[in-house]
Amino acid sequence: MAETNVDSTEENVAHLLRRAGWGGTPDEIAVGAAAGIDATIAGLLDVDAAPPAGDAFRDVGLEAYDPPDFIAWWYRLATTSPTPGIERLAWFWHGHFATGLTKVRFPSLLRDQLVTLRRHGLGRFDDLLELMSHDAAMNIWLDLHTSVVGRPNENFARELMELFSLGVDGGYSQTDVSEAARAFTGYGLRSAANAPRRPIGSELKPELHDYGHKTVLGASGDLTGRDVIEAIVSLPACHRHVVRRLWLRYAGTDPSSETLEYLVAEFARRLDVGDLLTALLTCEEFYSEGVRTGLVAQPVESFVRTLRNFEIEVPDLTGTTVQDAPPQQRQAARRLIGWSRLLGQMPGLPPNVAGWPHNEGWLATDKTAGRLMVGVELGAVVGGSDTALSDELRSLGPDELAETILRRFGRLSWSDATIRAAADAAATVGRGPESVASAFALIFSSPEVTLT
Amino acid sequence: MNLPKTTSQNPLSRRRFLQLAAVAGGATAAPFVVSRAMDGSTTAAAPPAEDGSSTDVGHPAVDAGEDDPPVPAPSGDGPVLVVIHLDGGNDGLNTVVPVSDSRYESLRGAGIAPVEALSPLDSDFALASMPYLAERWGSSELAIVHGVGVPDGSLSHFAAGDVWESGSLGASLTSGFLGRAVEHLYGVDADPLTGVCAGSFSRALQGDAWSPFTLPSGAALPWSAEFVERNPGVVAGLEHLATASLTGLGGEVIESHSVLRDVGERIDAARPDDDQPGAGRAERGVAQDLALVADAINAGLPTAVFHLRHGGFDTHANQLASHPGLLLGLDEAIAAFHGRLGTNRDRVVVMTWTEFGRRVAFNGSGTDHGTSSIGFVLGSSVAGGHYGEPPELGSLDRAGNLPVTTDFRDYIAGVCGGVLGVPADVIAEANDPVEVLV
Repeated sequence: MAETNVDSTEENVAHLLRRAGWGGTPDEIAVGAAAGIDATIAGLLDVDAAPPAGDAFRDVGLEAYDPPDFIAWWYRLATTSPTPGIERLAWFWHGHFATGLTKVRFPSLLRDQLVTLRRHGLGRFDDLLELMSHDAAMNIWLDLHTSVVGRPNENFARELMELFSLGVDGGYSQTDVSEAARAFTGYGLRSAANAPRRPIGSELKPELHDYGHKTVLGASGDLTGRDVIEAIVSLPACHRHVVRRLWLRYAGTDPSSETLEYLVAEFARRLDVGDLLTALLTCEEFYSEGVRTGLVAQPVESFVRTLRNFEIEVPDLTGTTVQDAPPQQRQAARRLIGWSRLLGQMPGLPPNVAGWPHNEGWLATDKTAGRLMVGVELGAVVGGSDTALSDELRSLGPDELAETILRRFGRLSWSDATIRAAADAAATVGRGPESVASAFALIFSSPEVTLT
Repeated sequence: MNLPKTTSQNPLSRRRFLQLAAVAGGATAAPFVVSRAMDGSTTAAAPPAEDGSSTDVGHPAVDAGEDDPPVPAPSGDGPVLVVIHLDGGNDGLNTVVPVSDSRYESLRGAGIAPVEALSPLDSDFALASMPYLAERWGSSELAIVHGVGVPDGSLSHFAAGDVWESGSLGASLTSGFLGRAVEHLYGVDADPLTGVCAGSFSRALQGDAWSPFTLPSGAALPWSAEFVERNPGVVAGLEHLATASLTGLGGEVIESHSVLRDVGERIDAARPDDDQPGAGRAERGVAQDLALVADAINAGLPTAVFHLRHGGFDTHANQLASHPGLLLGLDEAIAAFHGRLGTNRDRVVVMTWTEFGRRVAFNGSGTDHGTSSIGFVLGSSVAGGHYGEPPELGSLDRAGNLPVTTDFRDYIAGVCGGVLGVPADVIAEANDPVEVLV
């Protein structure tokens, strides 16, 4: 595994924790700096330390299709997990494989997909692609379950190449897509024994698979889906595409050609995502000024950081649903989902098969409006809660209050403008809940929290 | 970093500086344009006149610093173009159905449009699930443009959508076809409200240096009078933040706050008094967004172009269950939009685009990505009728797709150029612009 030459300063560790986790509390940053960057990365990527995702919400099936059950489950897992690095990586893959409940309809199937992404997201990329090609939520999302011999559906085969592995200019042709579609025919949905209309997985139905001769990306024969995936992952275009996607979401701007070639080589060696991510997080360029100021946070990322670091509890809906939960929990879950919607991003509901926008796409005026509205509401919660943290914040004068909230957001360096604007916001109203709420809302809408 | 800091000694206004920086640094910066002074002293803008006339050039709210000329903007009583993206690739064959061509049924098989939802247009075509548009056809206000698509286009949503939004086959443009029209008419200093994305941002309205305003669906806007009254601390903090001089993405965050404040105040002032949240409005989707657009037009906001999305047209599966409802939803939304506009309807032209059509053959449940589709242009200034050659069902390509008979560039350049009064070649490289106005 690659090791770093970068100093383990609190500043660098805070940057690492914001990008590769959800962003550290002041204590977590201090612990990381004492342990060093390499040990902190090892902890972030320790998949064996990740707890089971749990059975979570009660599966009520299609009759009560309800995206909120999935969304509330996701936020609960993200905010309470002791392994934020694993949840952050599964979130990356969720954006990469961008599967949506609008079409899947069964929240339990998308939960299963997330569990697969958590468990295998650091493993070999060819295995991950194969798991996704057999994944029930993916099968519904990209119509694989309707794709049978004689009537292949191209949706999955196209997105496999365009979005998941090779990129739109990845050197494949329409013929490759059509032929690959034949190789993925016959994966149907497997239903629960006692509920034939409720899918619980996917399975190959041999009589619906096309066993004929096919040619995809130069490989010929009676190709299976696995054969197509092996043809894809042997191509340099695939290695570059995966490196670029990961770099885009963890670092932001385009990598230098040296860094790109280094990361491509690290990844091509074993197709191991853990190798690649470790190389990315240890390389010097990841800690450069351009990378530090070059990434707009996906709204969900800064939202999870806020919920986690300001101890705003996400209700536990294990064994129930949003609809059936006790009133207080139901209300809390709905409020949480409403915030996520206002911020313009909800887990499980990507806008389309290409996933969510990048950088400037989150700076449109409607997104700024959403951040401001949510910041005001979250500020009221942080200022008015019955917790030790809120008690402490309410007791502080403007300057100390601003400084304490700023540090809670997991960053050490702030512009003078943000520091003074936060103190102004606090000072304009008297000490107490409203002062906390104003300073918090201002900081939540600041350039530093909008970026990450 | 070793770059010199920008300070208050800079002789250029901050707005000018950012625009020049954007031009010099390439379009990736795409800064938001500040259209009011943000010196912290102006907490309340003068409200526009009741009739909306003062939203014209020189509106008090858009008077920037002393050095800056008034912000160019349309008058608020001229022609308005409303562009709707049928997102996902609309099946043109099941929208304008070639009823006299027996090959339609033999090629589509079980996937033909439901017969009971058809409104006959003439002996050759019927409109599926769109009774209001059929009525407008009867009044000669509906242009149906056949065979619209990208020549030798990609079957990828994103590649095809990119080509459409940029208005170009090349990959070099970062602006969109509508954004270029705005910049041609009003320059890079144009009011952000000159072009509005209702619901979600579209690159079609992005200029080379000017950026459109995106109006959030449904939600209450910050900087309304109520927001300012309830949040004095936040307002004081934001006024301080607005004076920050940051570069790069951080600077763009500051700029987007400035634009938000300006338009939030103006939209708040333009809202009809009796407009309770939800009253008389659809809850969601294209109907809700079109109601917002109608209110903006009725209030005289200086907007020449709106862009909206109507999603769900990627009908690979269950097409017969979903597609008629998508068309009917659009039809009902347009009917309600016309009703809400009243006499302002005569100023408005609605046009649709979609990234591609669908495969002719039914896949058993739906249709895969195809090539050409249908374009609708609707308005009292439109000369109703058929435009372009209906694609020949007898001459499909090797993949089983319809030929493209109307180059998408001729469609967008002809229609948008005509409505907005912009030369076609500003919008797209067109050979034979489709002219549909009376």
